[in-house]
Amino acid sequence: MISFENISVSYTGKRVVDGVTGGAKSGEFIALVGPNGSGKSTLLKAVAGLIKHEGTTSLPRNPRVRAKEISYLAQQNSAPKLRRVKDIIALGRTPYLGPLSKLSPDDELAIERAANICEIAELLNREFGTLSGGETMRVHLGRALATDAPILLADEPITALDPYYQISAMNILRQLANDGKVIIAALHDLDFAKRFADRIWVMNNGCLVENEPAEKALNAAILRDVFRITVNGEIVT
Amino acid sequence: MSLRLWLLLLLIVCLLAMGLSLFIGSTALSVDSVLSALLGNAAEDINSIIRDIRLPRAILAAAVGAGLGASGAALQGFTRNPLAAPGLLGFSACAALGAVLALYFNAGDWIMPAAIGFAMIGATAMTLFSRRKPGASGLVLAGIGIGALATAVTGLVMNLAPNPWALSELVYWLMGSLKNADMTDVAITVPLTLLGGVLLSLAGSALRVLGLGEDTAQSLGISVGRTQALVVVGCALCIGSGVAVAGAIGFVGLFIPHILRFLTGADEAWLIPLSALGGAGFLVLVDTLIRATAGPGTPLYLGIVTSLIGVPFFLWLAWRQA
Repeated sequence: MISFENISVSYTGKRVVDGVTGGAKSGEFIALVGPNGSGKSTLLKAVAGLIKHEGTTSLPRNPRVRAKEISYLAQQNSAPKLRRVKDIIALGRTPYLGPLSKLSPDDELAIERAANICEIAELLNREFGTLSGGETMRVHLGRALATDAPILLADEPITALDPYYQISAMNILRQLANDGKVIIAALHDLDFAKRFADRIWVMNNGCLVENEPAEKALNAAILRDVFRITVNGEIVT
Repeated sequence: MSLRLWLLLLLIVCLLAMGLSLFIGSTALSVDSVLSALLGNAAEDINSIIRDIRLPRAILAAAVGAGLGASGAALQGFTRNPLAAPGLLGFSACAALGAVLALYFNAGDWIMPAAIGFAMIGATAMTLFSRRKPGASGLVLAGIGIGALATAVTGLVMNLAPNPWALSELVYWLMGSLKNADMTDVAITVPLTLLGGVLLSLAGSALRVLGLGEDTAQSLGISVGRTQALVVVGCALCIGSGVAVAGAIGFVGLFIPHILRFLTGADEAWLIPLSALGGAGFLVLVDTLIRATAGPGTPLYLGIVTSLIGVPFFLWLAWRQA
């Protein structure tokens, strides 16, 4: 469904992602975990084709074609405050629209479906600037889903949310995978990763150091060597 | 009110303002004589007043205002920064430097090509400096830097002015005015502004998506580099050709898009044509006002009046939004 080989990214001479190879099948939910600065965001951006990188991916090279295959939810999202929620979600249909074309019935349907999945149907006519943090995240997720791409890359989608919205967002991602999409989400919460994902990829210093089913990936050695914590949640001294 | 209706309303305001401006000037004319002069059927002197003086001035005010409004809207959209404007990002300063150099070397015929040429040079420099990573932050930094350089060199040229008269000519020119407008200016400025406006409009739908941030827009298939190129070249054409005939006219490009965004709630793409019409109408009205209030002595300069009217309105808006 998606595969990539030997992805490397360097910023000003420093290798931030170093020869990462991986792939995911349809219906698989991958949690991408690793300490701050381990290269999770950079890997996602490289796979999404947003930054210069070495290595190859299975995705189309043409940006407009690729945009239909993969949607990307950034870590930091913004949208104009005065814009209606529906218009923001509609931007997810950009790959299907010409510069002057209007939303087709297909587009409207995709927007409606995305809004229903994210439980924001009742917010569609609100101004974006009036939403709470949890609501804005769901709108951005809705925008990513409106593209209806088979692959979703999400960079720390739940980091700034309260527990209710964290769990509701994870439920949405899990359900999307159950419906056949590939979900690759960078996460910091290891318990969530274990509970919701099928596989866990662990990154450390730009390398993929572990790629195992969720229940096996976070063993004591990985926790100690990569995260510098113990299984009991203590800091390794 | 729908955005189409706003567009129509602004177009009507703009045309009415242009019509009104044909009646304002040192010679009072009746409706009949203005209309027949437009068709070339009036007495020769009346024909000349309308067709050689007032009409080109009205058309140029509209073209320059449209270029400023559209450029401001596109730059604010691209940078997602409400302070971005052709004046701040160096477009006006580069064009003004070109014109000032032409004036300094006493080459009046070269004002137009020099202003447009320097605006394009400035635009190219901005693109080159932000080439490693096209986008808002790069363009803002490059634009401010290049604008500051152009302003400094303009200061240097004024510093080296051979005599007070040459200096005063430069200073007056920089204040902005349409008093010498003629049909030759119209023939150059209008097509270039239209071309610039078309480029900016082509960027419109991409600017709408860029409101989500550059990474997200890129993931939706938008090319940030291509959008930046459209915006930068479009602005250079609009501002270069505008400054060439009217001098540096401040503030229109900043506050017209703001006011229209506030009034209409338009998105980045709609705001470009709306601001073009709004800027056109505003500049025609201000130029008409200047002529209506002209007495003996130095007439008011367009650039001074636009700022004097625009700033209080802008501050009121900032106050309301805060």
